[in-house]
Amino acid sequence: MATMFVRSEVLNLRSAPVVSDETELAKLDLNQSVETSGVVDGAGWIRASATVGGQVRAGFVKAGFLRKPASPAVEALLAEARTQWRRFEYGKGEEHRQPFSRMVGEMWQAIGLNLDGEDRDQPWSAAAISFMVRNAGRRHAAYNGFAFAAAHSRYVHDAIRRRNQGDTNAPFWGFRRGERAPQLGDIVCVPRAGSGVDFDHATSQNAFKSHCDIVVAIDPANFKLLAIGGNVSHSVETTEYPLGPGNFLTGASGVFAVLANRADEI
Amino acid sequence: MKSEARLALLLIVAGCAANRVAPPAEPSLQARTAEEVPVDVLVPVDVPVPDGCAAESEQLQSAVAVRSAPDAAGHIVEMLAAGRYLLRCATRAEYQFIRFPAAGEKVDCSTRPAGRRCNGGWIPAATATRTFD
Repeated sequence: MATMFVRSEVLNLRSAPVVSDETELAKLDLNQSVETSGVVDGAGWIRASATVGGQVRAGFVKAGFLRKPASPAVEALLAEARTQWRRFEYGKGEEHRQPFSRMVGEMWQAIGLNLDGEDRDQPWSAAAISFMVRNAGRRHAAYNGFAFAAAHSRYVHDAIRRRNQGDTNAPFWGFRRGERAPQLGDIVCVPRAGSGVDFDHATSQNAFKSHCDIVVAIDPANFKLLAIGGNVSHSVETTEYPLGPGNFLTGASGVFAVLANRADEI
Repeated sequence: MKSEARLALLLIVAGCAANRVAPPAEPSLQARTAEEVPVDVLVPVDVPVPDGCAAESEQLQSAVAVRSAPDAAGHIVEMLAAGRYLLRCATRAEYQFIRFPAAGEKVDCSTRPAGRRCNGGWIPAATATRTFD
C-alpha cells in the first residue's frame, strides 16, 4: 500500500478499470489522500481507496492523476488550502452569503479585525492566506513564524527580507519569478489595482497592492500550475498560472515574487 | 370623436391637472430641521459631491476631522477615530472626498443603494491610511 494524493481538481474513483457512467463510484478532489496498491496496470489504472462522505470507498483511478506525498510541512499547508476550498464549496460559496460570510469573519478575527464577508468593501485575500498558514501551523509549528497580516505586502516583504538576512527560521523566503520554479506549498504573488509593484519595490517597501495564492498543483505537461487563494471570485477558489521552460512561471503570469516554502527545513 | 375616445381624453387631461396641483412627494431641504439633514447634503452646492469612490476601503491610522467642504473653513461633520474605515473619492486641491460607514455599520459603501448611502465629507488627501488586500 502507498499513500498518494490527487493532483487534478476532480478525479473519478471507479468500480472497475473502465471509463463509463456505470463504473463511477465517487468524485475525489484536489490533494485528497488516496491509499493505493502501488501497482499500475498496462492501461494506467491503479487500485485505490479513499474516504468519501465519511465512508471508505475502494475502486480504481487513473494513476497519472495521482502524485507522491510532498514533505509533511507542505502537505499540512496543502491540506488546509483544500479544507478552505471545500468549505467554500469549491469556489461557489460567495462571501456575502451565509455561512460563507461567517467563514470570512473567522479569517478576519484570526488577525484581530472585527469584520466579515458582509463588510464588502474589505478585500480579504491576505486574511485568507494568513488563516490557511496559521491553521497549517497547528500541524507544523514552523508556520507560526509567518508574518500574518491583512495585506499581502507585509508577508511578501518579510519573506524577501528574511531571505536576504539568511534567516533560517523563516517559513518562507522570497524569490524573483526567474529565480525559482514554483513548488507545491509555495506562495505566488501578482500586483493588483494597477500598483505595478515589482520585486525590487517589494524588497524595499511593505505597503503595496498585490494578491497571492498558495500553489496546490503543478502540471508541467499542460504548462500550468493551480493555486488556491481567498477573495477570488468572491470565494476561495483556484487560479491557473502559466508555466514555461523549466517549469518557471512565464512573464504572462504577472507573478513578481515566489515565496519558497521552507517550513520543512526549520 | 366617439364617446369612448372622448372619455379617455378627459381622463388624461384630468390626470395632468392633478399632477400640477399635487404636493411634492418629499419635503424640500429648507423644510427639514438640521437634525434631519443627512451629512452629505451639508456639502455646499458649489462643491458637488464627487462620484467614483474606490470600491475598497482603507483604515485610518490616526484620527481625522471630516469637513463639509474641501478646506479648513468647512465645518466638522464628524471626527473619525484611528481604525475607522473609509473609501477615498475625488480629490480637490489638498482635500479628498471620502465616504465612510457610521460607527458600528458594515463597511459596504460601494454596494449600498442610493437611499442608504454612507456618510460623506472632506479630509486632507495626505491622511495616512492602511490598505488591505
